[in-house]
Amino acid sequence: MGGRDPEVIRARREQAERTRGMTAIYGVMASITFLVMIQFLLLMVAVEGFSAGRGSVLLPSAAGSGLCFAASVWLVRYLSARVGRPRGTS
Amino acid sequence: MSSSPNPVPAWKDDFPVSWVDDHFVTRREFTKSLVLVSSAAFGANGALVGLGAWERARRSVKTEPRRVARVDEIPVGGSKGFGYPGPDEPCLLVRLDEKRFVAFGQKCTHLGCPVLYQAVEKRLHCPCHEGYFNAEDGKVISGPPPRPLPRVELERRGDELWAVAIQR
Repeated sequence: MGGRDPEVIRARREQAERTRGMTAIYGVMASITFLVMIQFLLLMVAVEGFSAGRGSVLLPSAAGSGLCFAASVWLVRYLSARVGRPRGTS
Repeated sequence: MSSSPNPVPAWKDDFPVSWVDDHFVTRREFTKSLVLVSSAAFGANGALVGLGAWERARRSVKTEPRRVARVDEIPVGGSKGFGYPGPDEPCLLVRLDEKRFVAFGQKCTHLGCPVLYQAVEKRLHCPCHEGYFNAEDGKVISGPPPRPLPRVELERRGDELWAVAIQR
């Protein structure tokens, strides 16, 4: 039975790790895409407020955008720590 | 039939990253580029905050008082154009009744067309896109203008009217 072959077990383990890594990457990608969309909405609000002379919306929208950016950076760092670099790359 | 001593084909040395790993890298790079877009959006938002602060600082600049007109120069319901704070910044002085004078920046807050006073309705009219402002306080009554007209503060000195400040 090839199922007990150490080579096969190692290959299956690698495959499972890669699948988990891909899931993490897809999750992070979806999350960051969502955050970037929110940032664009905030940017629209800020541009609208600036054009209309409503300066009070600028700072909250910048703060929200900063939070989204920080969350994106954290997600990418989490991804690097969680998945590491793929084989075959320097 | 000769068998090769090395079972790995030579072309694999030129393409060391497997298809799956290549996708792995592509997605990771895409994610990083998304973070770049995110930082650009944050930067743009920050730039708007800076622009807003600069705009506020620019608006709060003290202006020199300027003589606008003599009181008896303008009839009730009449108006007179003048430049304030500088001669190239058009404003409009309006006499609402015997005692009340108001003055506003004459550029419509929509696209900068000059507004005109309509004495019967006591409103300022922008003919370009049919914007209307209340002549009492400069607030938008209807039309596309997004904000009120800048108000010029007036001071009466004897029988003369002076512009002393502008509230944008």
